[in-house]
Amino acid sequence: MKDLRTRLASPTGFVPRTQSQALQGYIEGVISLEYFVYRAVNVRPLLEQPFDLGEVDRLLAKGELDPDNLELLMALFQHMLKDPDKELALYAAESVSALERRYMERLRELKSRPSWERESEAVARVLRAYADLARMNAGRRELRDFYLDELVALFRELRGICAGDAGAVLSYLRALLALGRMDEAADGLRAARADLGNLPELVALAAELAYLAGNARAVAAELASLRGPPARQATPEAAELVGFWTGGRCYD
Amino acid sequence: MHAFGLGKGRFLRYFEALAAAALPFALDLALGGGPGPGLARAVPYAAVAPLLALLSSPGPALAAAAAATALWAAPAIVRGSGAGFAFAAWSGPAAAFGLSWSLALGISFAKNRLAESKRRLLGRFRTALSRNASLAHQNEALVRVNAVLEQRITGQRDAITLLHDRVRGLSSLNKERALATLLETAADFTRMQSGSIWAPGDESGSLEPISVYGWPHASPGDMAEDADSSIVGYVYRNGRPYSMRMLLEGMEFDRFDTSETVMALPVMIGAKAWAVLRIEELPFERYSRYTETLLAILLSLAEPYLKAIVEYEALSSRLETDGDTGYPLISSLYKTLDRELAQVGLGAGHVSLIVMELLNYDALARSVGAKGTKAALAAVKTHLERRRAGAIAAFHFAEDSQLALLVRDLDQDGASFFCLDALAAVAELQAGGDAPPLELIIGFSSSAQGHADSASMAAAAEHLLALQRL
Repeated sequence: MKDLRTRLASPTGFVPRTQSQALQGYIEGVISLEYFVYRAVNVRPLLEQPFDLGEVDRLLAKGELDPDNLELLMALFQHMLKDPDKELALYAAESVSALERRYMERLRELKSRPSWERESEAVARVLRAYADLARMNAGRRELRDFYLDELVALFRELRGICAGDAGAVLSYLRALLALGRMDEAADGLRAARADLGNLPELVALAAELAYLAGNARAVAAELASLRGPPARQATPEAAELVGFWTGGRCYD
Repeated sequence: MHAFGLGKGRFLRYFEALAAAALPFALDLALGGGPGPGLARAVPYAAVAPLLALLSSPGPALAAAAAATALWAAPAIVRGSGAGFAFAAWSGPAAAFGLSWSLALGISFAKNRLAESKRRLLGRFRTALSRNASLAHQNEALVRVNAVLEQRITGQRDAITLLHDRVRGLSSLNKERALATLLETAADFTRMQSGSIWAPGDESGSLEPISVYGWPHASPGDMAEDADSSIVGYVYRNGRPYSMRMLLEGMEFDRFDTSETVMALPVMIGAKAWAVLRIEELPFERYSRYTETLLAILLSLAEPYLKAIVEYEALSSRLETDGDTGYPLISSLYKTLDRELAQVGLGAGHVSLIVMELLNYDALARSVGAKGTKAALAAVKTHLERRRAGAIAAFHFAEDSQLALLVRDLDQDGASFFCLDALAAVAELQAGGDAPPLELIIGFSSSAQGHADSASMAAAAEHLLALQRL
């Protein structure tokens, strides 16, 4: 029987750093199936210590990071900044700076396109960029609030262009909620429901507004309108949310 | 155009073949007055069939062969009949036509077989191409799924291994640090933005925040909640959790101000609530059954560590401690060890006593002072805690040059490895240049060796030290 070391040896000396590289290597015939499976089942969470800086670098090098991974990386760097190892803290500080520059550059690029203010989709993209920047700075309240304020101001300035775009409206309302401006969020939500109808996302937002106000009964009342078979819900998470609030006792 | 039941293409092929068959006849008419007997006159007509079999399909070729044969035979027979049918004159042409027909048939057969093989090969090739394209498509999809799954695992913020990692960090024997770690772990796993832990304060009948997370401005010391009329008080008194959803089930919680509490869970030590974890701000999408369960699991995992901290604090507050290190004195060691042995006797793991002694204590005390020397010994203990990622209870032993450590859940093998770890810790400290030269010897004993009381454990450890001093 071959031992693990033999199975993990590649005849070409290729050492895959990631699961994707391992899959590609297997497809090309450079590594064995066992090596790919070993790589695939031994991925560890990024937040687990000691931090895998190679994996952090790999994620950082990706041009396009989805919002969840972006938030994760920033949370990781906030942890690292408090590390007694100064090298690690410096690395974290530089990485934060690199990520911020990248997203600021993206925002600048979006705003430099000609006539972006006249297209609702372009405006929605700019609003999303501001929301990403705010999300990225979730751990730094002042910066987060700054980007959210910019988002709100931009939406109000270009309301005539993007009020019909559900994505833009949702970004605006979420920003108001995050800033704690509940009354304005309630007014905006009423206007959005009048313009766009009772979209499930708007109903969920109304439920969230009631939740933040501490009104559990209003939350349940809003989500009751979304009740239905799980397959009808937009996502499994939405189905779970509706089920959580509208059915069953807790702590039986 | 359909002539004679044939399509246009086929009609043309037959026409061409018959025209080719008529060519020798036409040449004969033009040059020789028409076909005649003899091999030489028959060969051009006999060559038509094999040629057309090579160049055309079998049907037209055979039709042309028949036409060529008829075009030679009829006039040749008429012209030669006057001379009689001599074998020598007619055998040659007969053989030529026989050979011609055989060749035509053979060539047609071979061509048919080749065409059949080609069709089959092409069919297999097309199937292989189509399968290849389908596999490439599947492969592309798998690669993308693989990338997404890889990202999901890398980006997991609530992995069980991460939870284990964080819970182990609670073993600091330092209440403030442990509670802060507990709140940070709750924040990491639930994304809560604000939370606090409340415990009975100095004033009876009230609970005060003893650790906070995400409170930007308020000073925790200024706040207190009445144990009878607040939701945290309700949770503390009843040892039951509260969740915002419970407001939907009845009026039970209407008398409490729940506006600042999303969830409140009792922090249990044994069967009694010791404190209350209150979640004040939690994202809407994270308020779910999963979060409720996760917090319950977290508190359950934290219970043994918090119990150890509470016991250690209670002990420290009643004990005499060394003025320089703050560690309890030997009298407390014996009491603690006796209590631990009693618990071990109930089947609850092992306890080991590790005694570290500085052989060069006197020399060091002369150079850096007694306080500095004790601090060096304490630094070994701190470094050991860092290496093992867990707090260790420390006490002074019989002499100033000795420090005793109580470690749970180590049998004699574990205790001996612990001693090796301690020596490695000393080597690391000295390599880092942070410590004066330390000549350390270590004695140990474990409850797993069958010691009945603290005195026998201490004696066993002392015995090992005495052997090393020789």
